[in-house]
Amino acid sequence: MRVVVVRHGETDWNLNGRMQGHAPVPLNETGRQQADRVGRYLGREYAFDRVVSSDLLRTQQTAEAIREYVDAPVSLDSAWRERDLGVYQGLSYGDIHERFPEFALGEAAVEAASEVPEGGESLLDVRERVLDGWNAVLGGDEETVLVVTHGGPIYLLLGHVKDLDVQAALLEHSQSNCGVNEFHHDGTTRLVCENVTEWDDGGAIEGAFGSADGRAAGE
Amino acid sequence: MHTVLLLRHGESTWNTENRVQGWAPTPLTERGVEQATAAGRLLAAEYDVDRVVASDLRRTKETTVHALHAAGWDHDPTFDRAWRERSMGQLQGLTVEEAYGGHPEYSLLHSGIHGARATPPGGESFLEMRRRVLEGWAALTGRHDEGMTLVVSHGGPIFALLAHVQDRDFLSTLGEGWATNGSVAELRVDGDGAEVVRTNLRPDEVAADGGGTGDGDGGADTSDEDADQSTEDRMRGER
Repeated sequence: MRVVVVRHGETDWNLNGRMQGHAPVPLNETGRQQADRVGRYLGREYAFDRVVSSDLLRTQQTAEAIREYVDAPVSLDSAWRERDLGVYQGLSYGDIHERFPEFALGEAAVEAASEVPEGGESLLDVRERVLDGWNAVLGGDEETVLVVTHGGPIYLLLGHVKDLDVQAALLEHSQSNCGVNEFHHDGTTRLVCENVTEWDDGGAIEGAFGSADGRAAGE
Repeated sequence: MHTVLLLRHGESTWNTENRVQGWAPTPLTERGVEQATAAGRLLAAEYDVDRVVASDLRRTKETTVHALHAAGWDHDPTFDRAWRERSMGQLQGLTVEEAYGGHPEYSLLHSGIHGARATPPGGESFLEMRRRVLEGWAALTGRHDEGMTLVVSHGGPIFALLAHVQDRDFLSTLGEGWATNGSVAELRVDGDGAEVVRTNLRPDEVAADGGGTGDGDGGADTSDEDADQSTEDRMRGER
């Protein structure tokens, strides 16, 4: 079985460095272009039987754009959502790094992986539900599945497949908007490629955002 | 008789950006600190407070500290979750326009009683917030029947409480506007109920435009700066 996991396109909150969590922030123009291009790429490279998408707005919009090129049914699954940041949702990276480093994007945050922000989820909570979503995908009988999700879940998934702890999973990975990751699973799981952006013919994704976003699953 | 003063927090960073705050730990702006300080001076000039209760969110905590300092009072405030703003859950951090324009089903003004009942994911409905605030009010007025209490809270709770004690519907209460940043309302409570003595009291020297954006987080957002605005116009401000 082949599973391709892609991150959503850019939003204004990505661009402006605001922690999104579960906020219903739409793709911006760059994000819509990214989603269109990655859709064309995925439609050319793979034959998907099914698409699973996080039910947050930015991933749903990304999945809808991809569906222009991918003829497969889409199911929404909240297991693939970004971390719920609770009362910290909407703060800027700088703000939260300065005042609440345990819920920011740096080492202090990953060291505090079990800390629960008020009204939100710990990183360990997120990991558990993402792996539930992952196992549900692996338990299906499709040959090729596309998952549309967020930075945090992808870091945690990569960490799981590489047998890293949560801290390393969050600190050692980065994902561009609409970065593509491919896994093969036949009892064991093998990572085929990571954060592929060759769909990007114009440098759109290395723009204002780059690679540091979403590091601690709060993007 | 028990006198209760309701002080809305000073301007916060998200007030200036017109973002829906809910429970976000946003700090006061410089102007917010000035408003809190001016409110403290006004309180000291006009009142003699026996006790201080405040919402435990960051912007009300900061307001309380600055107001008490400016008043020269050394009360030890009680921070109480009952006086928090409405939690906006997943809508927190959006602009008022995005939150209520894009999701009018959670807005009192867009959707009336249905908007008051609707709970944004992870947050509170307007009526849930109101119930929590009225529990805080009942606890406060049950515990004290004399003296003077300062309550430092937010636009939504002050609005809900004023409508409750005056036994008025939300929309006609909204027509009078939202408490502005750093403003004070005075209530007198006795065995027969509560009387609103005055609202939106603030020192003359403070810039008067802090309330134009409302809190953007109580489910309503009105301006009291344009006295001749119709209610309809004010309601549009909620977007």
